[in-house]
Amino acid sequence: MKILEIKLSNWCQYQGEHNFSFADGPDKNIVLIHADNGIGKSSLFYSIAWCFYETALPDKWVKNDWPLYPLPWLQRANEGELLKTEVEVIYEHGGINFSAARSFITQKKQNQATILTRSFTFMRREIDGNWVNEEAAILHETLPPSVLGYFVFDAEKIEHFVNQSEKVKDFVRKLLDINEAEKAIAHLDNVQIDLMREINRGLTNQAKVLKDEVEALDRNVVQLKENLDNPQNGLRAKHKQFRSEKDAVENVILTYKDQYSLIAEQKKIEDEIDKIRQGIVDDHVKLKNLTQRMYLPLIFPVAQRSLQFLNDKKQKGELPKDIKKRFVNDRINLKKCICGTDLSPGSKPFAIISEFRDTLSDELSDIAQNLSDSLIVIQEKTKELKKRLADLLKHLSDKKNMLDQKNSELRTVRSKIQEIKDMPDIPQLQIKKEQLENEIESIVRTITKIQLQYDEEFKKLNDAKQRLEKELSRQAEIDETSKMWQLANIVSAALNKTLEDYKSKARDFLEQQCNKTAKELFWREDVFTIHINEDYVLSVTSRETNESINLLPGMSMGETHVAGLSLIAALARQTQAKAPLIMDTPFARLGPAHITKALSECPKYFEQWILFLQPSEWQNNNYRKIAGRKIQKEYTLKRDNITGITTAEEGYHPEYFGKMVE
Amino acid sequence: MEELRLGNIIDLAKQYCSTNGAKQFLEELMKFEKRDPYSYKTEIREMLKKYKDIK
Repeated sequence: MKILEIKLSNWCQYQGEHNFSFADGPDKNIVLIHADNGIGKSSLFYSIAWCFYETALPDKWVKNDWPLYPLPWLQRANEGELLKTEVEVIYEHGGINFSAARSFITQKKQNQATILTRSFTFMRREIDGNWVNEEAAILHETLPPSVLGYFVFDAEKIEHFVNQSEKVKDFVRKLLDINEAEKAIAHLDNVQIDLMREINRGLTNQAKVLKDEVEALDRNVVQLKENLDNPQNGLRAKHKQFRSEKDAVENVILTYKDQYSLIAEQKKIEDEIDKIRQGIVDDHVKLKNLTQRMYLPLIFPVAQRSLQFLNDKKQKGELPKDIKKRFVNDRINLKKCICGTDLSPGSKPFAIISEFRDTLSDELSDIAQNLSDSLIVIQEKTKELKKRLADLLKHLSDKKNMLDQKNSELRTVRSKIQEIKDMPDIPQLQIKKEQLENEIESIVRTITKIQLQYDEEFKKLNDAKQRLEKELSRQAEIDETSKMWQLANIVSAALNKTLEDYKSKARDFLEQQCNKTAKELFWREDVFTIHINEDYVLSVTSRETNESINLLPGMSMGETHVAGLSLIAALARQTQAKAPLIMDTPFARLGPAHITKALSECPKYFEQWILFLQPSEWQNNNYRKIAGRKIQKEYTLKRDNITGITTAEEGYHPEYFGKMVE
Repeated sequence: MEELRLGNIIDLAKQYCSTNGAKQFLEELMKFEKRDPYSYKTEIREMLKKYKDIK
């Protein structure tokens, strides 16, 4: 990371627009800003940190709510007047130019300043020169806020830095990405737990079972479909065929319908004739039976004469019964039986004889009675027979007439039939038609049944396919999840393997680098040795004294600064940190020898070294000789006494030191 | 004493990554961690999804 330009607009003492351009030469990396105390050196110094991360201001500024807008403006501004304060830092990193710009708007209200709005933009310059918005996260990656304080600091901090081992430890961990690695491991562990939970939830053999089910159902469906729709021997094809045949037969039947009706008529007439003939035969039999029973009228006169005879006898009282009755009555009148028995009325014999008398009969009387009854019956029967005979004869006559008629009809029909040529066997065709209709009906039933089966199986197949798809999708998710778990595992293991070894190596390395840098920069050859323990506590020993004694607490400020600079340089080298080192009054405590050495060696360790120098830190001409070819840009700050505004002039202008510019 | 070569933790960890996907994931993960994120599970899962199939 190399700062190319700083643009200030109404920042602290820098009222108006002020540009500091550092972009000059790829091999040069020292920037010098010269100024007396109180001119605006620190304001410019802190503008860089503030631009990147708003909170990176010195504690005393924050505690006192130090205004970042120019105070002279507030004094002179009208009520309600607005002022925009902005700091823009343009830097290069990885061959790409970036711009970070932070601003706020102040309004004067009742002699007070009110901050209305604040904003931050981060942009990237494209190849065509256009600036486009960029994610601020890139700035975080290049110069995280946590390490900013270790690359942008003033000389006071060096001493604290050296003595605060926790800060050193923290700094090393951040610079070496140890913190990030540990966080990454912890995060990966947690994510892996979640992933494993998901994997365990889903492992079954369900997919295979479902596949088998789908295949079986599919076969059924295909088979049923084949049964229905095979163009050669499918049911629908057969149905069509039968219908076709039936239609053909029907057509023939229809074609010969009228002709065939003659045949039917002939048959009908023949049947009728047969029926009539049979009827005539039956009637003849009935007639025969009837005539056989016609003897009855013949015996009627004989019976009548016999009856007449008997009736005469009866009238004359000559029937045996009458004679006996007279005899019995005589005895009753005499009240005595011929045998001498008493026949007094009321006596038992009287009752007996009376009953005898009343029940007297004789066969002739009975016969007469029967004969009389029979004659009546015979009369009736004869009447009936006569009627029946008459009816039968009539019936027979009618039938004969009908027979004649039917025969005549038959002759007519037959003559018509004889005129017909090549008539097919219609009855046979009708039988065939009936057979075909039966076949068709049967096939339709079968088709309906199989169609229902097909629909059911098809539905089951679709359900099974959906379930299979769901399961496969779930399995795929699990497979994906497994891959994610594996990847997390690989990286977590890689970080774990690297980390422990790295941590201890880092400390050793830092110590080594620190001593190397200190030797290169500042120490007298092999006199002092810097030690950094496990907790990153620094100590310094010397071979000139007891090597177990830590000399650091007793060292001068200058030597402490040397140790601090060595440490920072060692860290920069160790981490190959890409941030510029920006230091405010870095040489205040150092002597010329150390300053010379620092100017000679430090540029090797940093991408860019921006120094804010008091006049006393640059009084030796040798400094320019040593650093000269490495100086990228140089500015001298001056302040207008009347306006209070600080401006920068390119180059080194010692004439501005120690006095205010009128 | 021979100068120790420390190297970068990411480069060293990459040596233990068997796939390019793992290496790329490691880089992106470390960049992500440098931003000191508040939440991480969703983002890390997305990164895993992105790199899991890269051999």
